Amino acid sequence: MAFRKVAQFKEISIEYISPDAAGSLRFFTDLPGNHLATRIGTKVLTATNADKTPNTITFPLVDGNGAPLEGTLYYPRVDPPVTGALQLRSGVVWVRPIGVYLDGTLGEFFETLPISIGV
Amino acid sequence: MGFERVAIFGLIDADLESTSTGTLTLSTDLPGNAMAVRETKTIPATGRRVVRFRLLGTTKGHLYKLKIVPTGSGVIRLYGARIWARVLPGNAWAWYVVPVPPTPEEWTAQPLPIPRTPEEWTAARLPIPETPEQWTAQPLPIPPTSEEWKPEPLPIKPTPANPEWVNIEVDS
Repeated sequence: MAFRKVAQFKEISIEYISPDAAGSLRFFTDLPGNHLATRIGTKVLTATNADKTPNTITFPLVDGNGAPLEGTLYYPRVDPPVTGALQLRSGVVWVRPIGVYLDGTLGEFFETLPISIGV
Repeated sequence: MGFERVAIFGLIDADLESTSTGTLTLSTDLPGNAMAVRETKTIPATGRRVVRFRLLGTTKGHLYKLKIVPTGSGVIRLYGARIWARVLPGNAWAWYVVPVPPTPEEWTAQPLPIPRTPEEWTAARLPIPETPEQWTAQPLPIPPTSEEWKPEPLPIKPTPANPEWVNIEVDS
């Protein structure tokens, strides 16, 4: 048996303050292709109130077919507006590991040990 | 751990999704008392569903082993499997769960490693020198008076030991 742990990603939520202008968010995973690449394009973190109260914004992490993104690695990237500052307060990603993920390009397979039905 | 009773296998259910075809093989230890491949089935390319594989009906063994391999560059996500078996010489069929690492139905929140912004305000001291509560003695710039007496000579011209001659001018 040889397989890696692959996780699916459902959505990402970011709490931030960006009163000067809009910032941006990108989300990178290593699947498909086994290299870290942005998977949802560039998402806009809209400008927040001038009184600097934080915003919470959520983006779905799905591919072009509406399926959850997948990866063994991931990272988010937040960029501030060119004309101002952005405060990043917190963030959360909703994930679940797939029990058995078999990639044919890597020669992976699933195999049990010899099992008795227990009688 | 070996068991004396033999089971006959009838069906395999696999809860999976596959981007291309794959292969499922079932190995048992009978006949011959050595694990060998007894059944080979093709896994279709499919979205997630339970795929049922009907076995020959004569495949049997004390032990069985299941193997799943994707074909080519395909990806298979395996969520679960079970096997339909009957213990000989009985006639009762039952499903037996094949141990597959589970995939949770629920999503788990994974916090991003963003340094926390505290809810409380913290006092940050400005670099202003502190004014002490206590008074400090600051001596005035008065020159001190010496404790010792110092002789001070009076301005009296001393009498020389030898007389000094004085030239007195005389009228010529």
